[in-house]
Amino acid sequence: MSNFRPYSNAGQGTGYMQDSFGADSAAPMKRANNHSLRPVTIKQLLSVGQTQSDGDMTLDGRDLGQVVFIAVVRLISAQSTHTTYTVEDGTGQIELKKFASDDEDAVEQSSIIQGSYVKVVGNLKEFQQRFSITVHVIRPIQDMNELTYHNLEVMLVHASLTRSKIGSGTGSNVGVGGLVGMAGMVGTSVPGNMYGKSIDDQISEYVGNHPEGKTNGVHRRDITSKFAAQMGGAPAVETKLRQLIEDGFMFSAGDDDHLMVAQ
Amino acid sequence: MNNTFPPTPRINSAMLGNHIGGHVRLVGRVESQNSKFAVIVASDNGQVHVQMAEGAQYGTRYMEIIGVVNQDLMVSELTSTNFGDDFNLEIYNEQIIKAQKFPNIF
Repeated sequence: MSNFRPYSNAGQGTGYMQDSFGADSAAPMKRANNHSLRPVTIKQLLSVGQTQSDGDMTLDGRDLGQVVFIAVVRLISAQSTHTTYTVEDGTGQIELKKFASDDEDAVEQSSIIQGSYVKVVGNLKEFQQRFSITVHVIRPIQDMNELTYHNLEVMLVHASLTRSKIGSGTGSNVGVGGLVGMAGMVGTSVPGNMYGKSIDDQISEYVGNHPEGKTNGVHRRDITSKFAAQMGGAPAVETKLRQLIEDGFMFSAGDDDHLMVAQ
Repeated sequence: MNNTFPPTPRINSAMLGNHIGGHVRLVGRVESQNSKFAVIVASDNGQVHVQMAEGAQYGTRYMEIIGVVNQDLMVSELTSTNFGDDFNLEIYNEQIIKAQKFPNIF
């Protein structure tokens, strides 16, 4: 049961989830993207972009296909053709509509009771400015560690979709609040240099473009010596590197001293 | 109140003070309980005193308590959920701390 992780990306190897929504670029999303499965919180669902002329809903600038989230069932109302669940996850509440189907596990479905945690896969619908979810799969959670995992993945996907791409400057991620603040220059106040790039972007670019950047990683020593003068000393660079690693923008490759950029 | 459920930030014991009077979700290990009060060890290892809801009984080692934070940092339980006997509080703690950086999501 707990093996059901349709969106997990184990084995990618880089230590960072690949962007499953297509390569870089803000190129117009194609219909195909609606087959994507996006881990979300209910708060995110309730904040999706204004419905566009073609009826597509967007989150973090991407078309929203199927979504998956974890929530607690608070109300259940069984009707002849479908069951309505009201669920909440601490970030918001939303109504689910589950149509009866033949191939579902009756025992499992009957174990979905008020107060139990469930994992839901479905599509977001909007009708008269009310959001609801049309459910494809709803199943009880047996191992609550799934909740931690899900919330981490929500942050990871959001971060990988919204953080500034290397060298892309500002532009596309204005207004994505949290991330900008997070990637922002906590503690250091070195303004952009003559290229107008943040120090984070400069370090990412340096490591990403380094001959070893995509194979063995770049030694800390090299990064430090490159940026020490600009940042006012080696310790400042070390601190910045630690922060970039902590926030998931960089990770150590072969050994602790060789770093690569997550992208 | 019946059909709307207020947002409940996930907190550990250190964050209690920021939510006095507010609704919170507290996950922790049940240290002790009688029918009225319980002591929960939160994900950051701090003890939290919980005034249990009427008739409540915590049936698993780990529990999620939804409640209101009182002036004295005691949590008055509204409802609770079993979190099983095998839950990694350490990673959970990391997760909820990271989550504070994403106010648009959580």
